[in-house]
Amino acid sequence: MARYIIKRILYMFLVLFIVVSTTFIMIHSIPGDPLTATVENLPEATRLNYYARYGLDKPLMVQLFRFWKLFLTEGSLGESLKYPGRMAEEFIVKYAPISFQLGIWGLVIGVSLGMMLGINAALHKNKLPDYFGTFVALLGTCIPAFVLAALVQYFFTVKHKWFPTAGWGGAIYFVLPVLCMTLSPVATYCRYMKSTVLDVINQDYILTAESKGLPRGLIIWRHVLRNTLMPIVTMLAPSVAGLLGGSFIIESMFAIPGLGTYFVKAINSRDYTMVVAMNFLFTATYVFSLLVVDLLYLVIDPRVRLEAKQNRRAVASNVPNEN
Amino acid sequence: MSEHLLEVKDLAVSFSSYAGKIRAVRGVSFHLDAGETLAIVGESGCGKTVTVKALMKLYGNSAAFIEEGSSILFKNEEVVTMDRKQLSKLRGEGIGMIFQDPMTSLNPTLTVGYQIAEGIRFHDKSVSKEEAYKRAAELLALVGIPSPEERIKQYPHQLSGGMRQRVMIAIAIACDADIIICDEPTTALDVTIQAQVLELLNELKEKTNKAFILVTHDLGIVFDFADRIQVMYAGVILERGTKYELFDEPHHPYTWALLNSVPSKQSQRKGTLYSIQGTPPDLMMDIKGCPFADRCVYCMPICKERMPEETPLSETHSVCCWLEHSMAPKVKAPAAGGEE
Repeated sequence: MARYIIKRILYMFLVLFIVVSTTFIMIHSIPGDPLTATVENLPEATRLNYYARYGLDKPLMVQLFRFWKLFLTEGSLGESLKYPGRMAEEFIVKYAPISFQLGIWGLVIGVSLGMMLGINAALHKNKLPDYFGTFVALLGTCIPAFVLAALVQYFFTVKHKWFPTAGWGGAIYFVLPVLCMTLSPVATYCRYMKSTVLDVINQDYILTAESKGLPRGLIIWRHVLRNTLMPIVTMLAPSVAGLLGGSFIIESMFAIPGLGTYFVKAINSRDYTMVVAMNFLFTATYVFSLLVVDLLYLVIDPRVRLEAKQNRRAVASNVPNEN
Repeated sequence: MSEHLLEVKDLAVSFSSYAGKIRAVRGVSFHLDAGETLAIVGESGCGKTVTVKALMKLYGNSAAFIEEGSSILFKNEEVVTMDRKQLSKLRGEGIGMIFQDPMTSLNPTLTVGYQIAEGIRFHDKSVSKEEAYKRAAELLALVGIPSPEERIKQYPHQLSGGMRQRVMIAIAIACDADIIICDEPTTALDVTIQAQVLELLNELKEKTNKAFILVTHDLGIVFDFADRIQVMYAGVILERGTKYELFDEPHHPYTWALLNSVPSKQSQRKGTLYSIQGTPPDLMMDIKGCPFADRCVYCMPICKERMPEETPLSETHSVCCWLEHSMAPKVKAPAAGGEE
């Protein structure tokens, strides 16, 4: 079991390294660089100085090496090119928690709501809850978050003045953005949960459970839900990453000081350090959620648990042979 | 009032579908006493499984329903009108069921022990968790699974097909049901395992006073296991009798054909296996006469017009066929073994 987990963690770091390095090379390969505009009219020597200050005069591979060296020795992601004197990790530490809060709340509420709607739809197939679920799922898929954001802003803030239009402060500022964030996961998970539950409910072992005389509630709780969790959990990792990306639009619509604005600005101004730093953060979030999903498999599905155990045994039995 | 453990009268089960109503079971009546074994045989889709599932109103997610006028008396209680609570008690405590495919009939995410113990604990709330698991282990030992204490902690995928079917049997008998329904219990197993599972079922039959209903299309296992046999076709029972009566002097052309379809030494030597021509009737249609008429070699004009009455031949043996009528030509059953 420990071996399985260690293996996953090592993979996680490997993926992180490859993705970040690739982004690093790619963003540096785009024509134009962040300093061109600033240094255009400066004398040659000053210009070279500028480039040297950020290490941009070195070959790309050297720059990449320096990037990792700086990160591994000092834990720093480098100095921003657009905001001289400020380190990229400062932005992350300061603004990422806001984006994450928004994303996590949206995900948690959206997934739970979507799953409940989906289960309800599946259990009352071709009845009102089913049609309602389908309707919500369709709306959620069709309406982009920014359209919904504009609508709720008009309705809840302009017309009824129940919530502040935009800004950041207490919990009250939180409600509308999170509401907009939940729409997409509600739709996705409602649809997905419905088809998964319908699939499981037609399995033979549900009939076995019924033949034991168990009441419907217990069958759904014990036999149906557990078996639907696997595919749902698999979808969670991409959802986490997707929601963080999606929160950028919501952030800008509701003027929330999250990472979103900085990310867009960083790309537009070719702020290499910031782009790589943000990408680092998202990749890390993604691979980390994949790791969590892998670990959740262990909890949910005994077949995966057993496989993990057998791997260890196989490796253990190989060792004496090699000696 | 019925003196039988189970008495089924005019049971009709239909499925509603977009294309119309599928009348899978079209009025069957039979009874069952404690300690005896009834076999229901017939080809695929003739309503065997639907009939036995109706006995505990077990339709899962399908659109099946029991038609009005049907009656199922279990210990003098009407099953058809039972509510959920009564059904819960009936299932497991009154009637247990063994399903066809042990590979898919056990929940892959729960331990074998849990799946046996949950029924025990649900039906008898006074049983503690430990006791229930202890009973589960005893049951596993009873159905012939070695080292049951370890097995109860295992998951279905760690057991072989034969063992899983033994677990299914343990689940069916866990709450001491009076009737055990075996729905093609050996169809999904390979031949050697089939023999072992049948042996186990036979042992259970001898040890306990349970009644068994065996649903199968395998006539080979019927003779070893059953006391009485009823032959079903297109939702009706065409012939019924003790196993000796049915095997030694079958009266219905369909029973003849079924018996002839069993591979024998003769048919092996000739290299051909007898099979019944044609296909069973469409169950969405109304069938006016005998449902087998279209495929019957001895079909007479009356056969397509009216369903024959059940003609008793002995106290236990009866048949639904116009050939039994005094005006019908005397037809002799073809000798078994496909020598037509």
